[in-house]
Amino acid sequence: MRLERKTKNPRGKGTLFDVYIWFYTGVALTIMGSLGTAIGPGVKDPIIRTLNTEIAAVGVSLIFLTYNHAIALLTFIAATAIITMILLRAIVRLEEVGAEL
Amino acid sequence: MYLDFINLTTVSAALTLIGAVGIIALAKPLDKVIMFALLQGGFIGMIVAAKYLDVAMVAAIFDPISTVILLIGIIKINEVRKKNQESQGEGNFV
Repeated sequence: MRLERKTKNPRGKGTLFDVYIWFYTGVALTIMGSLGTAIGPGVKDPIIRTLNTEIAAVGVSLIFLTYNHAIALLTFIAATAIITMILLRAIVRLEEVGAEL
Repeated sequence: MYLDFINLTTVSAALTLIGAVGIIALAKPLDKVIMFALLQGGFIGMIVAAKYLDVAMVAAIFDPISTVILLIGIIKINEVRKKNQESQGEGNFV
């Protein structure tokens, strides 16, 4: 039954399993997030730049989801949370020292 | 029916796009964190629509952690900047 559904309706159109919406949303988020990180409003502040990179991370996760890479998705979500922690700690520390970022 | 396009995937995609536009467009860091919560909600909805419930569980555990880390960082950097400004003002005065 699953094979029949896959051959008859490979994109899952009209079902809950609408693969192409994930892919296009992921691509849009990746492009928007990277442009926002590079030339968005107020990116002189390193905190705002770090927050903008999260959009691109979610976009890449959605592309992983489209290709059914479950383990990659799981690892990427965890790594994004940990890298945010380290990056913010580094930014706060540099600001305390008074370094030119 | 003409409302057939409303399902979990499309609603989550709309939520994600609204969150992304909000993060880029709003200037204050606190507004950005609120919009980031919206973005993560849409993302978890899409994972659930893909029926990867284990991945959805991991995402639901890590997202509030990331939000709390961002909030702590913003508060701390605000304090540090205020302190630096005060010490700089005193130095100029003396």
